[in-house]
Amino acid sequence: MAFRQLNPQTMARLALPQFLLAGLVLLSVLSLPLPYAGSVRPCLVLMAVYYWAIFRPTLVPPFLCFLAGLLMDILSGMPLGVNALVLVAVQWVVRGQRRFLMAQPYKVLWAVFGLVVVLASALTWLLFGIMQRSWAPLPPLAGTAAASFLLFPLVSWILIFVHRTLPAVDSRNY
Amino acid sequence: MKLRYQNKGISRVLTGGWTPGLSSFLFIILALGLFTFSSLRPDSLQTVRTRTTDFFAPVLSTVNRPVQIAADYVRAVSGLASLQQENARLAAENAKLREWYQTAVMLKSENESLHKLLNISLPPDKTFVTARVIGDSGNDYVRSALVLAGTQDGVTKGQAVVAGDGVVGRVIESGKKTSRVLLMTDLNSRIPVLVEGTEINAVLGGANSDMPELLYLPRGKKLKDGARLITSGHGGMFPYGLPVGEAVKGKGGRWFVRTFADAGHLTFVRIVNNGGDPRLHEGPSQP
Repeated sequence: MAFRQLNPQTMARLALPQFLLAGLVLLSVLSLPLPYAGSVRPCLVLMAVYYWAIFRPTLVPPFLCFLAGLLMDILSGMPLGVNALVLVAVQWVVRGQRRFLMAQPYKVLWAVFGLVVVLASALTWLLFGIMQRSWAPLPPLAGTAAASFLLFPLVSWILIFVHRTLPAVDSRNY
Repeated sequence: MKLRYQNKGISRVLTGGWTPGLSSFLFIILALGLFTFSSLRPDSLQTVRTRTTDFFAPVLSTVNRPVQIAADYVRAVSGLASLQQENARLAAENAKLREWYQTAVMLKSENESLHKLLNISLPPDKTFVTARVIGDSGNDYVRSALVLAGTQDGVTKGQAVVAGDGVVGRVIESGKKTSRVLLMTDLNSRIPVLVEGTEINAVLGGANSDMPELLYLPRGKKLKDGARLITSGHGGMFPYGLPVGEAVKGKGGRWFVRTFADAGHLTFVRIVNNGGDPRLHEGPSQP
């Protein structure tokens, strides 16, 4: 069945992951003057990219990862291309391992996400350092990575909820 | 219901449905190209940046409102517990401020009469543009804030930005409707400061932490713990006399600054328009 033959309700359901991704991008660049939160910003967009790369890679393809990363770069004042590169790379690597990851229990997915966060942070740190010719201090990075790891269950709970509302798909096309 | 996508032409590349590896590879190359280009010529893509930010300003501003309201609510609830303590503190502070008010009124009239007596000519007063903070990079790399005021409101690159109690940074990009403020806690921020009541000059250097460091302190000069720092006006970017913070002694003889304004939790800022310094020229961008 082609896209144009889908009814509007199915289309809207299929667009949910994209809306959620846009929401997470906004949340990561908004001003959040919360007390006690400090400057820790968990990598929310990375969680969504990781999740969909495993379960429905065609819904959040490399193009959308690139766009989300680019928007984050522009709106947060980061050097252009850093987040875009990191998100596309994460999607690529995770997608390559999706058959293995899909068969794993949730705890393994969570642990692998921890590894992904560390690798993505290292790549961001390296790219930023190359561009600025000065290296960002490491302790806050560890805090952000830890916060992202700990918040993954909460965000993935929302992602799983959205995933369940999606229409089933024939996986032969992946 | 089972679905099958029929990806054709460009949509194959965009969705990566047919050749996922190739599509990822293409976008990685594109991102790398963009990164290299923006590294070599940081200023060349500035227009794209400011235009895009301007475009997204209404969205950010709209979404920001409920978030701010929620944040205020959380702050109000978490503040309830310490309400009585806070009240006592404020009452004591108010009593002290009343005394200061009398002193200030007296000093003001004395100052005015001395001005008249000396026939002194002072630089024109500064004007302010008040703007709401709508975005906040607040990550571990860049400390900057996005404010809802741009060139159409008279905000230009280089202007100093203050919030309630003191300096928070300066404008580094200004679009039509929005501007980006480099906070003084950012790794790249350098602000010339002066220890009030002395002639000790130093530079306030951000370090991506909550407390910026005092750099280039002159040797042999003694600094007191808790000394008040103001902007020195050197370099022409920041006008003289904006309050900055208090000096705090750190380990190994280093000095840090407890800033008056909390750059991490900004809601509104004031952008200082001091008419601009005619001696200031923008230098060539350095890669």
